[in-house]
Amino acid sequence: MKTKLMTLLLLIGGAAIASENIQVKITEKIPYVTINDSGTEVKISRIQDTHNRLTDDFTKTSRACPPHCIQPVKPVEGVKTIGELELIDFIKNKVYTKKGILVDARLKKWFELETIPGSINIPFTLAVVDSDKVKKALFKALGAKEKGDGTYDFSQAKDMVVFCNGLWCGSSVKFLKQMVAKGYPKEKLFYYRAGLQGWKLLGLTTVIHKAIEAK
Amino acid sequence: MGNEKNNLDDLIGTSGGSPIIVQESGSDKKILYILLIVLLILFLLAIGFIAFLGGKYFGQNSNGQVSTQTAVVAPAQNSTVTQAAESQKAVDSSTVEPKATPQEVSELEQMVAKEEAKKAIQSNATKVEKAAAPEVKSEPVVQEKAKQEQPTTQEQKAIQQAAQTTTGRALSQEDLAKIAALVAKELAKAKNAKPAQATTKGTQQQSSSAQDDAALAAQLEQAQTDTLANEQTTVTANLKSDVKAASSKKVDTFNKVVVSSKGANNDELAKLAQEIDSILKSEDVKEGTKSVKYVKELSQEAAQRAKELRFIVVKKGDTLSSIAYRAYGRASAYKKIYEANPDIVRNPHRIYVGMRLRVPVDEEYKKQQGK
Repeated sequence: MKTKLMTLLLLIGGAAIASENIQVKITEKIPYVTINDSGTEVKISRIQDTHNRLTDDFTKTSRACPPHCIQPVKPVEGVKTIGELELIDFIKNKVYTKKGILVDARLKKWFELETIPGSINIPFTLAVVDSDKVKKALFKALGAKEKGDGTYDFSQAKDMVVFCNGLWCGSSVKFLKQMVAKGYPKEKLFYYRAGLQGWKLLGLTTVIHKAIEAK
Repeated sequence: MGNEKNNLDDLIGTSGGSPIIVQESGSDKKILYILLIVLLILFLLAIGFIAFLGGKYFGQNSNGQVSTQTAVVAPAQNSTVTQAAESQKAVDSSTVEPKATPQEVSELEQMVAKEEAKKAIQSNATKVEKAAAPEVKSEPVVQEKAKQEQPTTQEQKAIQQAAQTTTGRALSQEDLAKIAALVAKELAKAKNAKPAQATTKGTQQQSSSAQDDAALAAQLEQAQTDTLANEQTTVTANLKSDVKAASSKKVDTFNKVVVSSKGANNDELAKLAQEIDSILKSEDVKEGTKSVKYVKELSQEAAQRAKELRFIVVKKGDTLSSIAYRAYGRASAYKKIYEANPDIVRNPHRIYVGMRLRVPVDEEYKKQQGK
């Protein structure tokens, strides 16, 4: 009788422990990563239901091209293209230490619907607009210091990983091209090509920003 | 860090508005985990304590008592075994089963002796007879009750015989009645104990089934090869059953966290976001992007995406058809909910109160309604 109860106990205990375990890790050694997004600790992990399928918009195969065209791996010479692990490493190290920012280059509407934890919305339109005023304000916000002669000191400027909706999304490429054209150092720019679609395909955590109040 | 619960009516009203609220994030979750773990430990301790006490109790009493513990503790298999033994007993009723009956008999004898002693103190034979009379009358009722379970009557016979053989005298009618009542009582105890056992077995199965997703998947694969007709029956069956509260089976297939900028104003990133926001609102940007076709198209696509992201929170008493009616205006649209939430097709019991179901806006249906 005792043994039976003990086995029952073990079963219940085992089930409880098993449910705590992370079955779907990011890599063998990284079960999850935590990041502070707008004051909230967000745990970046993957969906634990091993039967789960994508069912929403990111399963859509075809959007009109143009504008939604397939992007090259190296859209801008000198800008590195990265994958999810490099991005997670960037979030863990650079974003955490404020040396870098993760840039969601999509329109604000898209950003508010759903985005990657720790990211900040800089719509590609800011880089595309042909205005010196906008450029100055943007570069200043990004930590570049204007020298007297019209050039910039980028030593304190942020590293940036730029992404948008995915392989078929040109927003981030437009942003990168324009930033390089305007003089932002290429070595401080990175391109996460798979974008939100790739992120979601892996079942990674996303965040929804409750309406950001501008002050 | 809000976890707001929009209901569908709100969402239908503002289908483009901010959607999807999913998991509780941050410290809330941590506290929940800690609470859960503490509860679990308490639960385990309680079970351990009960196991300890139970072991002690049954260990001490197993010699003296009518063997109730077989029914209480032994799994269902064992009790069927004893039943089988009992039916065998019935087949050759002349011999008494050696294991249980001597104990029972000695117990019964003790009881009878006590009763007799009481009566001796009363020392009035006529009074005893009068007192015994109603008991004799009640005998058929007891027997009727006992007849409901076959083994009881058999056991009665066996006890009678055993008593006769061991005491060397025939038992009086009132003694028999007492014995019958006792047996009926014990059987009732055993009967009550059986369902309890079944439930513990059930929970055991549940916990193991929660673990064993692979087996579930195998079942699903079998089910998927079934014909359309089969699918139809399962669907209607699911529609009939109310949505059950089964929070323990929660599986997060959204993996979304709601964050809010509140309380993050001192954060460097938040400041940067505000700065960018103010640049966005400048005239230069507004003018520069107004007429760009690409921006317009992206904007439209975002609106469409918002509609696709629509969800509802399952309330108590909801059925899939009622949800479908709320979302699409017709109960038959539950298929759309199945399509959008493949995890509930796999396991309909995974629908629980507070669950978020995807109910994407159906543009085609809206158009049809318009016509």
